[in-house]
Amino acid sequence: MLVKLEHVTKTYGQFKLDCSLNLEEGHVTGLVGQNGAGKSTTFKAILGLIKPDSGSVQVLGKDGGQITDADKMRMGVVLSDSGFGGHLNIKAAASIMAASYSRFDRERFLRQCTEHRLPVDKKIKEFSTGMKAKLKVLCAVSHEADLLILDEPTAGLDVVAREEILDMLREYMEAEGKGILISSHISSDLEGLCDDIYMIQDGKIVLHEDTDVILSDYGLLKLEAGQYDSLDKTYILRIKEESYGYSALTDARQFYQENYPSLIVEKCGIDQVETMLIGGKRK
Amino acid sequence: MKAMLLKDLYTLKESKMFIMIILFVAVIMAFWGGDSSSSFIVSYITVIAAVLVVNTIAYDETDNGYAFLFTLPASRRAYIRAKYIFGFITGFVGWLAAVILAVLIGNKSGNLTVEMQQIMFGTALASFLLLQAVMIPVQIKFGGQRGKIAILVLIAAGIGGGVLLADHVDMTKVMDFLGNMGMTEIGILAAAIVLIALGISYKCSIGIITRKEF
Repeated sequence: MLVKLEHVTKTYGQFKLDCSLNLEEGHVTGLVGQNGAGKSTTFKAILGLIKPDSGSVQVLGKDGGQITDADKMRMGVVLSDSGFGGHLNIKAAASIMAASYSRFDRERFLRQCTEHRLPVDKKIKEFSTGMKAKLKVLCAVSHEADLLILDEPTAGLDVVAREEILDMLREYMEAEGKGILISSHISSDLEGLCDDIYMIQDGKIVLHEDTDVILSDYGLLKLEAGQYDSLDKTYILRIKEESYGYSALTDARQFYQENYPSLIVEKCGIDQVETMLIGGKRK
Repeated sequence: MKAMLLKDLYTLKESKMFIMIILFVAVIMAFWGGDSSSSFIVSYITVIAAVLVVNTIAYDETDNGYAFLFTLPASRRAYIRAKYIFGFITGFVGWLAAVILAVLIGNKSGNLTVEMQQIMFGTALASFLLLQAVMIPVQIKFGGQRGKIAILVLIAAGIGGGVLLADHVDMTKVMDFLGNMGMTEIGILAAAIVLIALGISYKCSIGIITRKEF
C-alpha cells in the first residue's frame, strides 16, 4: 500500500476532516470534491505539512511521523498553492532538484522543459498559469518517484495543456509499482486517468468507487412525480427535486433500464455523481 | 541541507543590486568619510550582511513556499540548520570585507590603534551573531510584516530591560569589573554570551518550525 489513511481528523473552526482512503501500487486514485471539501487538507496530512488531530497516516508503508529524506525521494509532489519561488528560474530549480534527489536526471529534465516550451532562463513568476503547472508536474515526475501526490495539477489549464500533463502521468504509470493520488475539479481528466475515485464532502468521504463502475453502472433517472411514487427505490442513492419532478442517482442503471423501460435513464459521469451526492437527499 | 543552501544562494542573487549599493556606499565612505568612517563601515556592512539571511526566509514564505519546500527531501531541522549556516557565511563574509576596508582606512589615517581596531572588529562580529540569533527565530515565527513589528517590540523590551537593570544594579561596579578584565577575558565572556544566545536561538527556531503547519 502506497498511502493508507485511517480516520484522519483535523479540525479548523467549523470544518472537520475525517478521512480514510487507500492508494495501492499500480493504481491512480482520484480525490474529488468542491472547494473547501477537504482535498488539500487530506494531501497536506499525507505530506506531513499539517498534524492530524487523530487517526493514522501511512505513506510508503511507514507512519507519517517516520518519513525520512530517503522516503521523500520516492515521492513527487504537486501542490495547488505552492511551488518553487517565483524569483528562481528553471536552471536554478534544476540545480536544487539535483541536490535534493539522487535519481534526478538534470539533462533529461531540462530537455523535457524545452520540449514543453518552458524557457529555462526566465523567472518562474513570469510564467503563465499553464507553464507553471507543467513545470510542477515535470518536477514531480523527474526523479523516478514511486508515488505521486498531485493536488489540482491541471487547475486553470486549457484543454491542450491538460492533455499534455495527463500524457505525462500516463507515461509515468507505464513503469511498475508506481501510484498516483490526484485531485482535480475536472472530472473528464479523472475519468480518463483514475482507477478509482473518492468523493469528499464537508471533510468526509461520501463515495469510493472504481471509475469503471461509476461509468458503467451509475445512472441518472429523470422522473415525473407519479413515476417517482411507483418506483422501486432499492438502488436509489440520492434524490433531488427538479422543475419536471425528480432526478435520482442510482448505482444500478441496468436494473431501471430493464424494469422501467418508459423511464429516462441517463449514463452518469463523475460530475453528475458528485452533483447528486452533494445536492441530493438520501431516499 | 545542500539543496536548501543552494536555494538560498540563488535567492541571494536577488539582492545583488542591494549588495552592490552597500559596497558602493562603503567604498565612498572609506575614501571620503573622514576618521570615523572605519567604525561606520564595520558596523554598517556587518549588520547588512547579517540581515541577508532574513531576506531569504522572507522569499521562502512568499506564496506559501514553505509547503513545497518541506515536501523536498530535507527535514525542517535541516532547513533551520541551513539558515544558520547561510547566515554565518554571509555575515562572516560581510564582516571580513568590512575588516579589510577598515584596516586599509586605519593604515591610511593612522588614527586607530591595533587594540581599538580589535575591539571594533570583535564588537561587530558579536553584534552580527547576536542580531542573527534574534532575527532568525523571529522571522520564522512571525514572517515578513509581523516580524518587523516583533523586532521593534523586542528592541523596546531590550531597552526597557536595560533601563530596569541599570536601576537595580550598580553600573559603576559592572564597569569597574569589566575595566579590570583583560582583552582575552572580555573576548571569552563575549564569545560565551554569543554562543549561549545562538544555542537558545537555534533551539527556538527548531521548535517554531516543527510546530508550524502549512
